[in-house]
Amino acid sequence: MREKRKREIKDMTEEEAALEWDRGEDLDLGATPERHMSIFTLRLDSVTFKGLVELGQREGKGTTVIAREILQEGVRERQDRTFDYEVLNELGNATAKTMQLLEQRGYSVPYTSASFNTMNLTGKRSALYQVVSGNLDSLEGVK
Amino acid sequence: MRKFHLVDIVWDEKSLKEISRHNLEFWEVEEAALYDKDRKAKWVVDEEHGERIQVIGTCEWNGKKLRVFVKPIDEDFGTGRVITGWRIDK
Repeated sequence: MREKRKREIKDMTEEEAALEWDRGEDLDLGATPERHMSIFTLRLDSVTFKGLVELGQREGKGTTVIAREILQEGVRERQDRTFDYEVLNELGNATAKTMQLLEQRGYSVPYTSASFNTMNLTGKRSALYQVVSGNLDSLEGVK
Repeated sequence: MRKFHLVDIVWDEKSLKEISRHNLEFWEVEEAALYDKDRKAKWVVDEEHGERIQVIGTCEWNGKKLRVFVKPIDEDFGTGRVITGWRIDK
């Protein structure tokens, strides 16, 4: 016969949790601590870990200090990159809409809104540059 | 009264995923379980899951009142790992 699956705490309902609270022993958690940095544990492959330790030794810093610095730099860089992407995406949407409008009015546009939407980020960036560096007057000539 | 001076929560991928299932951020849980001056706690033991701490506290930044389950890790360092947690003021 199959053994009954162990019921995990995370599957508990609010009613069950409240009952558990009632039967629990009062606990003194002591004074609230000063606000400090959070702790996050992660697994590293041995090569990266070794590199981190060596880098710390070379720079005269603790392993956690050097790991924190590298993470802070990396997170900041990625966040900026995400922001760049968001800006470019918004500009891309506006451009696609503008081109759609121009198409509807019979203008000849360098890209159709449909082809623009299928481009990758680099393609969009270059198409965007071409569109914003031109102007309606120059497009009017090719109507 | 039993005492456990909880000063740190040790996060890992699993616990972050679990609280996100309840639409909570790690800092909201820390605010409620570590930094709320009015936090209250119970010590619970059962054969199936062993020892755990239930904390009820409020995140002062947004007023969310939370019930948080913490597995004690080290009593000397006051560390625990979040098992789960959810809002109780909805």
